[in-house]
Amino acid sequence: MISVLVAEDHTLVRDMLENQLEHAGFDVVAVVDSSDAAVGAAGTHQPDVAVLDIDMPGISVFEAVRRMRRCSPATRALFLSAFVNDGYVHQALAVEASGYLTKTESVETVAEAIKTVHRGATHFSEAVLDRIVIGPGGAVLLSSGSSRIDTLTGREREVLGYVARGLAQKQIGRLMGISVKTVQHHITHLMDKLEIHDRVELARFSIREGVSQP
Amino acid sequence: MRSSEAADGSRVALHRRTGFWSFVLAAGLTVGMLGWQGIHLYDSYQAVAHRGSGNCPTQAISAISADSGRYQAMLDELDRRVMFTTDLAPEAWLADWTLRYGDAHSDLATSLDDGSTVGKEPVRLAIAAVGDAVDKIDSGTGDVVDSLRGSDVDAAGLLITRSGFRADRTELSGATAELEVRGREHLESQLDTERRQEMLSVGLSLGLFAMVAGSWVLYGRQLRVGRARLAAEEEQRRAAEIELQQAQKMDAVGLMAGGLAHNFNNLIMAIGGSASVAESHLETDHAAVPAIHRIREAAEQGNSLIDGLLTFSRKAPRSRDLVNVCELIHQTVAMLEDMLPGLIEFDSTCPDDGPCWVVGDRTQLQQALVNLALNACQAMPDGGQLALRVARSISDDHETVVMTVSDTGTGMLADVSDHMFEPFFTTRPRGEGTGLGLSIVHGIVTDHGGTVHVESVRGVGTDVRITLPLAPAPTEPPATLQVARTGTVVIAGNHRHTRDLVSGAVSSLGLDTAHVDGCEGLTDAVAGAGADLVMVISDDTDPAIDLVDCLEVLRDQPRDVPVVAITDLEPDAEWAANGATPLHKPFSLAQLRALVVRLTRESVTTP
Repeated sequence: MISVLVAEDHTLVRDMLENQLEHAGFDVVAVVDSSDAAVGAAGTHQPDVAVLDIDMPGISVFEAVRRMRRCSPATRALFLSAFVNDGYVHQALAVEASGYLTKTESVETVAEAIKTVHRGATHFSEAVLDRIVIGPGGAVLLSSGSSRIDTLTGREREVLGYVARGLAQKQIGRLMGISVKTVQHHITHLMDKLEIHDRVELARFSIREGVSQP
Repeated sequence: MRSSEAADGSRVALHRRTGFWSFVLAAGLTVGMLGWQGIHLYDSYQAVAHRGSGNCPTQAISAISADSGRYQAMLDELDRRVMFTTDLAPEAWLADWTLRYGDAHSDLATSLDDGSTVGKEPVRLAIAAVGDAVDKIDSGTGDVVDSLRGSDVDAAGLLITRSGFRADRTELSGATAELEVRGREHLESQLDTERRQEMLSVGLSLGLFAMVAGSWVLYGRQLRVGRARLAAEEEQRRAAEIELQQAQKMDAVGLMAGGLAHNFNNLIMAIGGSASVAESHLETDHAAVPAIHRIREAAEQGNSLIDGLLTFSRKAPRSRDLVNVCELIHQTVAMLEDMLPGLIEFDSTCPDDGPCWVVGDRTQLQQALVNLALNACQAMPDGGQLALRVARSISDDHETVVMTVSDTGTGMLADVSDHMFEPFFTTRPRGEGTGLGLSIVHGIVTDHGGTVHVESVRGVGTDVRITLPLAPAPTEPPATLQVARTGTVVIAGNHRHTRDLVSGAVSSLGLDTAHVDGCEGLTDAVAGAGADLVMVISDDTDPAIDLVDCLEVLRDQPRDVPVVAITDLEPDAEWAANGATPLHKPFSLAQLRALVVRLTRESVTTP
């Protein structure tokens, strides 16, 4: 039986997924409502597949998957998002995700995707699949056009996501395990790179580029 | 865009420079003309002023002539007295005469002194001659006067009649006459010079006036052209500002729509999923099942609304294929003819010089055209003409494809066309439309890097123009991703994510996959697949894989099995000779899928 971890902050969706997946014959070993909890649960239960909502409280879900790799290396990550966004797919590929699903798809499709992923294949929509490029450094998404977001490092993207969510520098530092000074350093750098020096504009840019959810 | 802006900018700069220099020219010429008139006026004033003073040559000549006349008259009077009236000459007359003679002599000497400054050579010589004659006469006259004072009238008479004295007086008369002649000549020459100068001055003044008038006319024309250009620029800027405001509004609405879709997605997923769970717990003939079906239908309808919102907010996934727009238009018209009543007359036009290609999602682009066509048909309840036209255009130095959907319907009011792309904006009665059709068009076109423009005239019809970047025509026809045979593809490689992605791409073609970590497992995997073995894909960049060993395993196969070697090096001669097809990193999964399809077809045709 395939063991599954469900991480979703929306209670209705979380409960429905738990019921539906159990009904479909999966062993739902843990159901959590945040990225931090997902890391802990993965370490405890070592699930075969983790179904993770893209936008959850706490640390960035992509950072959570990176941490999950350390405590549960065999767990495959399957992301669940409201929509397909190049920014998210890009980050998902960077953490070697096994799949990316949208919430408009049926629960049956989610169940099928879990089986595919567990079998050792990936689940991406055809439109995304054809744009994935495998290079010496791993898989990336073929860019649909150059964007200023491409100038940011992974760490800066993560900070941008937290800033867009309205977190204070101290909170960001706590989540990322870095000092406030380093957070400030990242914010200054990313603002200079993006030529945006206003937090509201930064949030708008972040949502538009798919670094954070609206 | 950029080069057109630069061209516009340089045209404006040139115009500004021309206007500025026209003004400088007009102002300069005006100042020149006024200056010239001023100088001329000053010269005239100077001439008049000098004419009244002794410095004027003409004046000096006149004075010398007059004084010389007076001087000669005094001598004549002396001569007459000595010759005819000496006996009657009283002492008083001589004293009076001597006094007047002295005055006349002094005046002449003064005017001769003044005349010595005259610059003209002939005049100056004539004056000098008068002076010389006076000097000669002067001593003779003194002797005559002395004789008269000594009452020696006879001696005075002799002196007067002396031939030398007479000759000197004649010389004085001649010199005075000569001076008058020279003076007249000088005057005439001066008059000629002044006439010439006057004519030159008048000519120059007229020329300057003509140039000034011309330059002000030119400047006025430049000013009018500048004003017209400024008005056009202001109009353009106003239009650009309106467009920017519209874009910002649509951006904000898009963000809001995306946010709504995101949150509603969760609810719809929970509703639809829970309905499925509930249904799965019930017998098919349970009384609640129809209600659960209705819940699921409602959830699906909600999903399609969210899809519309996501498309509008450009968050819907789309493929990036080469799409032949002409073919798309013809197919869309054929589809619309089946869908729509016979009252509408359809027409489609494409350029004669071949198809127009764009990069995009064929389904989405067709959806945009259908949405526009359906909207156009709504505007023609009593029938009309619906034309779909394709044309190539150059916009801001980029080649574009323009798709125009034109109807002969009722047209729109400005306040409708201002809001027509906003989600949920509809002019239809409640319940007859979602108001998402044109929002979806806007989202699709914007996501394809294009623009939508609407021109509508009330009572005449509406033109909706979609402009998309033109893509180069494909060098070869797009292949259909249909494998020639089904079966199992064995994937050898240790890097899990690469292997999973390759596996996902292969599975998407309808093929099964089996994974092995190295060549050791390949024997078992090949044996397990048996006759179903379609292909082997090996990751040669993985240090654990030795492709030559893998090829050895396949040597015993009853038929040739295609082998794809993922590599980041030049093809190894040994395995290349054994028929492995290299796939160089970096490669896209689209390339991989096309390669797999091609190899399955070749393996079917190769005996």
